[in-house]
Amino acid sequence: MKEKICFTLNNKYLSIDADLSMRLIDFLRDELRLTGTKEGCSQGECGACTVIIDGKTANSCLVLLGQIEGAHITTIEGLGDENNIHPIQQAFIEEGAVQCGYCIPGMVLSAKALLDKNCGPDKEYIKRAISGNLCRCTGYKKIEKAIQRASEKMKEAENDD
Amino acid sequence: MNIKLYKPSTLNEAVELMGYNDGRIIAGGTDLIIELRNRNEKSSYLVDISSLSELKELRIEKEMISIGSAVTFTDIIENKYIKEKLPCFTDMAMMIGAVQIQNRATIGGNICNAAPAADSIPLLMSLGAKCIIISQRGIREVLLANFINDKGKVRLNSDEILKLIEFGSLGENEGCGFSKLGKRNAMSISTISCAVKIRLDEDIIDNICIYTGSLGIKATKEEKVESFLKGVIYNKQNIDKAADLLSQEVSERLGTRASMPYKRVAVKTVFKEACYSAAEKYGNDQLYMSGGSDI
Repeated sequence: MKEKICFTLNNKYLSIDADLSMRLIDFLRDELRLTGTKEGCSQGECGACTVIIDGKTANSCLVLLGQIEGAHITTIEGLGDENNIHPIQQAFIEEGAVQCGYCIPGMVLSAKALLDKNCGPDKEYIKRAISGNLCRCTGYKKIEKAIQRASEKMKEAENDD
Repeated sequence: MNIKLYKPSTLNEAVELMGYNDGRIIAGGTDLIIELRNRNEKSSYLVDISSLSELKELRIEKEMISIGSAVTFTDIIENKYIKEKLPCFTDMAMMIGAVQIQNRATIGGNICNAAPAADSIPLLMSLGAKCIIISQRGIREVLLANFINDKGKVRLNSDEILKLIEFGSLGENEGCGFSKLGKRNAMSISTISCAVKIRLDEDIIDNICIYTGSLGIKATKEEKVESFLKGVIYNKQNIDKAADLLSQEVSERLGTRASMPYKRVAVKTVFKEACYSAAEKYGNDQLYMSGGSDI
């Protein structure tokens, strides 16, 4: 049962026909082939499927497509790529915060939602922002440092402007 | 999932949609979507109320606080008045799931899902919250304590929608505290939770309301402990005695359950934390003077 839905994905306006009771993660991965969003636990506990909806992080496994009518969605594909890397992604590389990488899209988006609101977060804010993102190999220290570094990079870039 | 999803643009429209058979309300969806996928929940259509402005109002008046059922835990955390006047409510909201869940999950969903470990329920019950329910037949009010029926069950007819929750603001000599024990800080389902609302007249406990969570099929009013504490002096000895009484209650209630030996001990600290936090604004001087707090 397909119906029309309109929303903005990674700054592009979309108007499509789709099954509105589909989970957002399934729509992103299976229909749009945006496989940067990962599926881990499927019950909102691991944060691998984190996306940003209207400035706030959400587990895309716990959102139905029909619920995002009119919203602005950011997935990891909306941040940067090899040629135009986002400062958060650069900071993760520089700090060695990535091992297997499965949790990283979610981690980076949780970091982005935090830094968009608070450009100089202290450690406690960073820890809270990624508290819904599980990492089972890197550990959290390097990720915390990477977010700290990203906030400094982003502040510098702002001052240069 | 191949289920029809309606997205009404007004509360009236939503109420009308619920008037037909077999619809199910979805708000944040953080519990329901899992149930739908596990096929534990079968409905022929869903009515999404998560973005109805009428249900997203958080109104703070002099004597009354009302929270629309689609208000998210993040909305509560970000509310400055609540943080200042009812910090235990902010603390409770910050302990639910993690940021992603707080951003989506709603207060109405937490209530209607009626999990024995729901964090907002003991706290709202201790505040004497009422549920305002709307349907095509009109509006009715029910005390939250009477609204929750059983594990996962609420007294909500199939055509009704929980519109808002309201409770009185704290008076001059009143305080409220909430404490939760979980296995970790974030993403933690409570093992024990406790909410305490206290009214002190100088150092006498004039009135006290205690609810525990995760110690039965639904949040429980701890009447024996309340009646022990009513009218006595607020000091460490009395709070310790009350904690022992609660421990005894819990061990009887849980009987042969495997968690009983742990919970009967742990509940004492959870209760004391909630109590001390409820009376915090008066200072807990008398507690420290009489031997110090051991929490």
